[in-house]
Amino acid sequence: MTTGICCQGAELKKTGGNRHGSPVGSGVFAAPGAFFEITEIKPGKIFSPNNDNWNDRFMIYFDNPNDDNIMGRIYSLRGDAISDMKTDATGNCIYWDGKDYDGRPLPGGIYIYQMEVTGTESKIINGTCIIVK
Amino acid sequence: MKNKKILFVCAVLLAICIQNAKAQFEYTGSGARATAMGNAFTALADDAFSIYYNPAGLSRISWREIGLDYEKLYAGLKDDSNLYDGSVTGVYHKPGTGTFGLGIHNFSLSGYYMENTFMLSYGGRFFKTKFSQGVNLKILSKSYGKTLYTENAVNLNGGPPRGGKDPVFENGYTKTGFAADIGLLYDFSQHHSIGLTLNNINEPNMGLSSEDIVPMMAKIGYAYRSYEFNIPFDFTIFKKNYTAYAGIERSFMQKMFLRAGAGLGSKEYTNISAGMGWKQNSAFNLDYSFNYPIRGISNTYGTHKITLTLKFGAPDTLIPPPAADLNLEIEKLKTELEDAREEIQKANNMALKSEEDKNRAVKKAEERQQEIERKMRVMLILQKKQDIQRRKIQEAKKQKPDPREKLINLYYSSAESYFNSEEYIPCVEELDKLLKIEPENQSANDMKELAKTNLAIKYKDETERIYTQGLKLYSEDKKTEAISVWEEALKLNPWNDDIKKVVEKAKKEREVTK
Repeated sequence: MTTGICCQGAELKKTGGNRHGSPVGSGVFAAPGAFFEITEIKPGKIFSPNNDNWNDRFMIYFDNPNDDNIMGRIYSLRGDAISDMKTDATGNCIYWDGKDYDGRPLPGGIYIYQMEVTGTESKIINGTCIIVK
Repeated sequence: MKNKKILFVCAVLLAICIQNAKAQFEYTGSGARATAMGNAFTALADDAFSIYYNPAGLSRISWREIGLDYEKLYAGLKDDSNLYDGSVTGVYHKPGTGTFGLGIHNFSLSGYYMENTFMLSYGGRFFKTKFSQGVNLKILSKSYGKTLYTENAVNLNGGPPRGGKDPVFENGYTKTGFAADIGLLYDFSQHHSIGLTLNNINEPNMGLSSEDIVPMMAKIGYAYRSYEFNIPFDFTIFKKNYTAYAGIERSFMQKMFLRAGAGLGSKEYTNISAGMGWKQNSAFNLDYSFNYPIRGISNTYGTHKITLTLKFGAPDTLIPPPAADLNLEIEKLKTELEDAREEIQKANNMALKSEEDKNRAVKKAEERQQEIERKMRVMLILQKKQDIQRRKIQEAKKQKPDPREKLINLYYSSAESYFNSEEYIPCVEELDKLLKIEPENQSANDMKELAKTNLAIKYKDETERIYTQGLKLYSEDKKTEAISVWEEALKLNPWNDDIKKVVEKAKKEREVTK
């Protein structure tokens, strides 16, 4: 196993301004040619949902200039739908707390997240995240 | 009635296996043959990769085998995640004891996470019944990579960073544990089997800082097996969730294989799979599979797996072809044999450049002839087996109820199971018991003769080697050593008359010398 520190932020394109704070559907006028974009994932792929306040959630921040609909879902490696991602109060972030649909904590290991963007544009963004316990 | 009882026991066992969703040490499939059939392999397990599906399947292997497996999962994920899965597996059959397996399985997300499983397996027939049992003893190990945030944990509620690593990693980044699996197989007949596997029965805790259980997983399967088709089904159920898997494998003369499969589950799990395989001389298999989720995870290039399997001393097929195909195959081989003989003749008569070239051409043609003769021998054996089965059915129809019948049938079916798994010594032992009750039983006598012939063919090279080794010792006047070497050969084939004779002779000579 590699023990070198991976710069997780590098996997994301942090272009343009991060519009944290603008609620979804706020009617903010989008600049021509601006599209939905993930701006940051915190705390990277590995998170530890144990309620100790450190790296407790898997959070995806994004820019959504056209107020497109965003839906995030978590799958097991096998492909079972495990949980939906929730939208935080700012509207510019969706997160997962490491629990299933019934609110039960899930075991450690790799999961797949998938975001579906629909509206002015339509795209699917997916990747992996890891629970550590 | 008996079969119903078995199904009931399996259903109860399955029902008591309650588990949550699992993510760690959840094998997505090993061996492209099984993954191409939608991972429905619990009752079909009959190759080295059995240890990952049902270790009892090892009981069907009476040869040595090595399997290498490589898989790329969900190619094309948008965050460029590299998910790999691979394994190296070896199995070894010990006559009279069973089959042992050794497997190393690796699953990783490059740079972030890795799981390793080291497995020691055993599978064998349960006494002399149609039941087989198997067990895996596993060492599980997982490790996490270091990232910016694991080393400097963040408070996602808006507080300042911790300025140190996530407390979950205080005791390190790796964890090791032990687990065990058990597997059962019941062969109703040559064509129908059911299997049950319980994985991680001890539910090991793999948490770094808090409890993180790898839950027990249960799988039940049914398989129809034949020369041309294999059709397996698997089923899992936990609390309110179920998953069903089905697959099909079509063999074309046991050389080319086409496979397909599907899985359907209650948590939107909908997966299809396909694959193909190529087999060379029952010794070399190359298989490929492709799996794709129909619902859920999308916009990927799917999961691809490639497997290379090397078999040593394996038969061409575990299930003999139907009579019509067999006759056709024998006729074809006869023609091929004629061609090979002609080729040898031609090579001998050819005015080649040198004696060396000529010898090479003759040797090549002779090798081809030997290979065809070997195949022909197998086909003739299979044909004889079928004749025995047919006669057995006819005899059963003619016979009036006999109090000894039950015992005779028991010995015969037990002998047949041994015969099919190429364990000829216990097969003959069973037949001897039967023949004590009914010495004139033609089917038993035929099978006994065939078992002895097959045993002689199976260990021909090895007994010849040991025989020569003994002769050498004998010629050096080391009679005791020679006897003990020959006696080793008799363990492999107790009915080898040549060796029996020399052992007797050497023993007498040794007595005289004393």
